[in-house]
Amino acid sequence: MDWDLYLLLLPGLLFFLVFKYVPMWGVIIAFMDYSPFRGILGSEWVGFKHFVTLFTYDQFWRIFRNTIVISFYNLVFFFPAPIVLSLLLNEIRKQVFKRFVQTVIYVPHFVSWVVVAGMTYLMLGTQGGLVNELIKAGGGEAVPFLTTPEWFRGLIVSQSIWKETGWGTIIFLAALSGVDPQLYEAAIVDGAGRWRQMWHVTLPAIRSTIFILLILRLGHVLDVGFEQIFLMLNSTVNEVGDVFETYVYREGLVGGKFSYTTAVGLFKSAIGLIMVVLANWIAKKFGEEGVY
Amino acid sequence: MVYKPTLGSRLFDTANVVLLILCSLITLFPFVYILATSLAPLSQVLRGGLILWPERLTWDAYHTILTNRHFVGSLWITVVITLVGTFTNLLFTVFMAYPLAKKRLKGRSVILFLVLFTMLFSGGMIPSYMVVKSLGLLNTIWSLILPGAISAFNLIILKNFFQAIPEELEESARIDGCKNMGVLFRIVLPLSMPALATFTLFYAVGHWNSFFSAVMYITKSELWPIQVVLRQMIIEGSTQEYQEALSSAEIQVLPATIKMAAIVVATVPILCVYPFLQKHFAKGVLLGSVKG
Amino acid sequence: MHKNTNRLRTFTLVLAAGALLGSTVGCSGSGSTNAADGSPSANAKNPNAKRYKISMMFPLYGDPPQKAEVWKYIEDKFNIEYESMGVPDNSYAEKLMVTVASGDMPDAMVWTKYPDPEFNKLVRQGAFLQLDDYLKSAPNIQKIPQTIWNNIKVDGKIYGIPRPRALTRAAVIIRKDWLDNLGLPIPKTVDDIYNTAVKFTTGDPDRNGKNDTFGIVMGENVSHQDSLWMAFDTGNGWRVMEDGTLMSADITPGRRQALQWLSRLYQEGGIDKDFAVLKNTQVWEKLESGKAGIMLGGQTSDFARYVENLSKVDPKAQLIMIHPPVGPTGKSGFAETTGFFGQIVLPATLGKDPDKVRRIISFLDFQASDEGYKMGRYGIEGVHYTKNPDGTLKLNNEKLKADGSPFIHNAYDPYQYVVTSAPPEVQKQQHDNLDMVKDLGIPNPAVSFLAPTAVEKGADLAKLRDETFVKIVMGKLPIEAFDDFVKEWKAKGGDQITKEVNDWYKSQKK
Repeated sequence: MDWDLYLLLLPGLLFFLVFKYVPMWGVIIAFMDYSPFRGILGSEWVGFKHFVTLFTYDQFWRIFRNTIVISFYNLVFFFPAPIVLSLLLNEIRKQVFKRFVQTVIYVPHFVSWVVVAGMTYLMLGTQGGLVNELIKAGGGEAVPFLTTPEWFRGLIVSQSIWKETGWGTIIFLAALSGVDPQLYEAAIVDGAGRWRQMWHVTLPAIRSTIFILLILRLGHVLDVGFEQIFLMLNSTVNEVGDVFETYVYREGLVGGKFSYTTAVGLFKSAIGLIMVVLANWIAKKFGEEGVY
Repeated sequence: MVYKPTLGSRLFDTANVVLLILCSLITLFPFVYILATSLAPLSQVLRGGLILWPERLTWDAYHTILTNRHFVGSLWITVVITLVGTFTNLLFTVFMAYPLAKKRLKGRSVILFLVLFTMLFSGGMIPSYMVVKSLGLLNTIWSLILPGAISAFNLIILKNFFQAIPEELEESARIDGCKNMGVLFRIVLPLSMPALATFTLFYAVGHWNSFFSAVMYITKSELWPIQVVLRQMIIEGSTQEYQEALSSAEIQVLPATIKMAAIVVATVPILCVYPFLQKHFAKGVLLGSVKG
Repeated sequence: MHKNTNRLRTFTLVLAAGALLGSTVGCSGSGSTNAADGSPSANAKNPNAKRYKISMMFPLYGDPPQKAEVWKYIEDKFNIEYESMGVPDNSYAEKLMVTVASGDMPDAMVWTKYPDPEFNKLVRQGAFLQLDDYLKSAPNIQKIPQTIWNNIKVDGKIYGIPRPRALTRAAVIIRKDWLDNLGLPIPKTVDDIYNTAVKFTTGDPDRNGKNDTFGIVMGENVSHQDSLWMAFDTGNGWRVMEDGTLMSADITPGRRQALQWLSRLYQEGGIDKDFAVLKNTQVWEKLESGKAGIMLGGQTSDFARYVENLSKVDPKAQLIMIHPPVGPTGKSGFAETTGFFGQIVLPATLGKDPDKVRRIISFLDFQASDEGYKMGRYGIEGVHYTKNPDGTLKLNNEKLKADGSPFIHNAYDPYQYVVTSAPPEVQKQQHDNLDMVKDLGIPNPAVSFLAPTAVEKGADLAKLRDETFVKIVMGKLPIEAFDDFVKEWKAKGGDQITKEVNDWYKSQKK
């Protein structure tokens, strides 16, 4: 009866096979001293040499720590932001206002990180930065936001929230628009106030979406957004800002370290996989859908 | 809805509106800066600082961009790529998500895991390039459409949305004689408009912003999409090589007004897509369907 | 339901239309005319001229060149069908790698990175064609100075054609009107620069009643200080010490002195307090917006743009280029460049078709000739320029810019950096500066050598250096931190690198 379902699957499966799994052989580069000219067959096998190099790198723990901390901040502050915002938007009754806000808040998604970094400087620089000029006018001393390690992580997360929250609400709003209004009516009849309505009707509607997004995000626990951090990174904040991706970039500049950079990427992916498998298992234990 | 809003409820609403207005201002702010800079006279822009209002409406920057012959050509190509690409995306993604939403499908879990796996592990640029090359897709717009036909992320979320549709609806359709395809087109898709609208937006934006793939796969500059052409107009000039290459015939660093105008031109068209799709985010799509 | 099928119908129509368009667009060829073989203007060198299809890949910094008059001229002259593969420069490195890996290299590629261990590896693996013999019949390319050829040789053989650039083309740029307003002479020594910088910050040189100016521009990682380093005799890359050995310029005593000078100036406000976060374009903006008065490590070619932009902000502003400052030991100058930017390589597989190689070489040789060079810069007479009665050229800059240039090579022209679309006074200033700085370059004795340990540890050492230097200048670390840095640098691989470089240096001297 379901053979037509399998037929529907076919184009997609073909796609994944051809464009995702056929090129997978590239991960082998991490275990070789790959030369692009000689190709895979002509390059030397070195086993775990690159991973050893990575783990014995004297700043490995610093990079690892920085990456994890920023990722953690993102999880705690950035991840819930679109959820909260979409719930708030959902409470608005005037459609015109709601639509206006929806359209406006996702505009920063289209602003490139280069511009965001440039604007950050114009606002927070000590010479002529808007915020510091205000502080100075108020009698205070300029705060070196951009060259103080303590501000860096907060800055990065704030930028992410600013730029991507609006875009992130789109998925939740889509889920929320599928909620049957009759459920709200039933809740009100049962005497539920705003909060209880939200808790019993609204949140459950997006619960599975939240879980899936959380699991997927955990898969990228060691990916923190190269361009953003690269632009904000400078010599004074390296100790908190240097992450895997900036490290890989630096190494790549010197020359041709494909195998090494592939190995670092493989390491990140492996950790991500473990996290995803774990998270999916836990989700299922709680009766949630899980990704697979 | 007939109910008396409590004081707490009203306070919440007011606070909510204020908060959302604040959010709108904060997120609109960078774009105001960009727009203002693009319309400001060069003298104001060169003085530096945060510009929020042009002294004098100056259209020079836009004129330069819109009369650039590469730009107009690339705009056309980008529109084609976006339309064809987004449709391809939706086709592939919907066809694959629908069967995967059925718990009874054999091998479902395995397939989903394999899809998830591709989100974490990738062969890298070189193998992907070789696949595209061997399929003869180089220097065609298909190299920008096929390798990204399905986003694993979108697939997983869409599957999730499909799963949220109540079983009873499908059952009643089957009783009426529908096979799987019928259920898909008559029940599932109409009820998934918010989700489809969302992914149309996501895919369309993805195509509109495509840059790196275009540079890798297309060497014929006539086929370059808009982001490539625009970035060529805005040399960031931060590499050492840029310094080395500098000579009168090779480079012209363009003023900030053109950089900003380019950003506006690159984003305004795609920003206009969302309002069109917003009507599909209307509430109560499921209204009446269970009863019916 | 109806809505649904209508929608589907619309979608299908859109898809069909799109696919139709897509296929036409996708199939649009380079549109070059299939000129009949044996066209009347066939290459005079080869009477049995075969029309070759030649593709060349290079980094693109602006709009791609158009198939206009110059393009057609060279296709006719060399009887070729020319494919120009301009790749956006910010992704050029990746594109190079992917191209090599795919096994399908264009007939000529510009290899930009130098020195590049990957390039040397590829040469030794046989990826590129050896060019020594072919170049014997390329008179214009031969004009490139011998030192540059020596630098690019791998294992004593030539595998690439370097694109020559002037060895020294930097500039020290200063606000003359500020000097005049404050009654200051043109600074000659580093002490003069110091005092001038302080006065620029505190003395309201632009006379606007506001304390909004400062002395010296600087960018992240203490950039744009070229002439300062040389004045303090840090050396360029490596310094030949008194005992004849080489020491890294990062750890020489001169570097310590320069950093001390900078940190003192920073404390007094003579340097941009935000320098640690500024990227290049932001640094230039400081000069162009009238906030800063001195640039110690600028480029002659950029001067024209600074003048133009600054005049829009402040019509009374006056920028000039001066002699680099003299340091405590009497030294001055700029770091000499490699003398070229990128080398053109041909794939080894082309060796099977020596005639094609010869055609490519003659095409490149033309680009390096006077005639070719002029065509690359000025275009074709009557189309892009007309001759004035006094012999100078009247350029149609608009058409030049719109057409771009299909050339990827150039002749050796130290005055290449004069911006031809700038006003004559500016051009003269650029010309004069290039004359002045021509012999002020301080060479890097180990410019062509990349030590193996440097490949491994170089990125880290550079990061350590940048962090330390920035913090010292900002005052976050005392100058004594420099000595700790030297110790750490040596321990983390610096000693090993120094040894490797010195071994190489000795072997070269024989």
